[in-house]
Amino acid sequence: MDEERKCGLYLLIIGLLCTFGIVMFKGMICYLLYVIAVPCLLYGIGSYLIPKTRRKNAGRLPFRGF
Amino acid sequence: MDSSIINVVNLTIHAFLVGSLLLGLHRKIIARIQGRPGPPIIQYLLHTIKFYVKEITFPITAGNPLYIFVALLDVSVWLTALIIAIDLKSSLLIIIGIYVLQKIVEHGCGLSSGSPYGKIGGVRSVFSAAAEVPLFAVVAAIYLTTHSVLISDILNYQSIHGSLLFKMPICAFAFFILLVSKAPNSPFGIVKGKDIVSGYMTEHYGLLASIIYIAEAIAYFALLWIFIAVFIGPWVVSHPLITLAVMVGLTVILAFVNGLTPLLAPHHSVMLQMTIAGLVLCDVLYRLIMGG
Repeated sequence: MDEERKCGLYLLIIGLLCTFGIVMFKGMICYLLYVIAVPCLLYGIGSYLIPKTRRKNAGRLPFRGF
Repeated sequence: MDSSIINVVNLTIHAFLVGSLLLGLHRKIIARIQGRPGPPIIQYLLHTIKFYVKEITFPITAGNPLYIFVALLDVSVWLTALIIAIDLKSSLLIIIGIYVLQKIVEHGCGLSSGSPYGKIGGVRSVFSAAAEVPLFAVVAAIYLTTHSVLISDILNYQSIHGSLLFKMPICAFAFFILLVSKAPNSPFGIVKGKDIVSGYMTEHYGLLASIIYIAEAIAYFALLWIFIAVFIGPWVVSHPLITLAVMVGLTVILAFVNGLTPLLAPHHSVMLQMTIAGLVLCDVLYRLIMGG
């Protein structure tokens, strides 16, 4: 598994746990969990929708002396 | 599930869609001013969706996990602003705190990528923290007038005493300058100036760019709403359609301001914002001496 999807998996787990917390709890903690869950789920789901990189040397971007 | 969370989910989707369309309208008007047809108004939304399914790679010079974390923090920061301001109608001081966090996001975003353009953008975001000085002064002036910094109390005050826009025009102007500096192609937009490619966002492309676009659409909506609530009054924010109409009006004004002014040099941008802060501080002193 490449690093982008590995991060995505961790964030997806955090996002799902927070969503579970939102369903279970009531009050101000729900807002806190919501604020954590949304970006985690956005990246977590997105990381599995993006295609695999076709670059030969992934991470070696132009204008960095490469 | 708490029913208030369902309201917040609705509010988030509403803020993202309206913010995206307003940013699209902003871009369209600037293009018309420059004599170009410009992209369609839904272009910002299309960009966000398109980048959401585009590949990313982590540059080998990037500092992970900060490289991802700052983009996610951007969404968290503006979701918090949305909840505090619109859903809870809580303190303006917390909104300032959130705006400071946004500067940390810009700084971290630029420095974590390892790109020279991103680094310059990150360093410039520290200069552009000067935009917060008028914001502090504005909150002080509002407190002296309304004796509260809670948005709900400010709305109640305006429903009795009328709009604050006419009572404190200098403060409204200073807050409007904050809106100008947050809008795209702003004369104060030194952080994302074209001289440094895309500033702090240069190396955040694909999915991460999409996440930052989502945050910026929510930020644009939240800041416009706060301006309308604090300076124009409850008769606008209580009706979603009137709020939308006023937001469109403000976006047109912002587009004209940003379309007709060149990008300022970083030191000029800071000097101008500090001058505006000075003006507001004079207003605060006057209100202190005259007893509110």
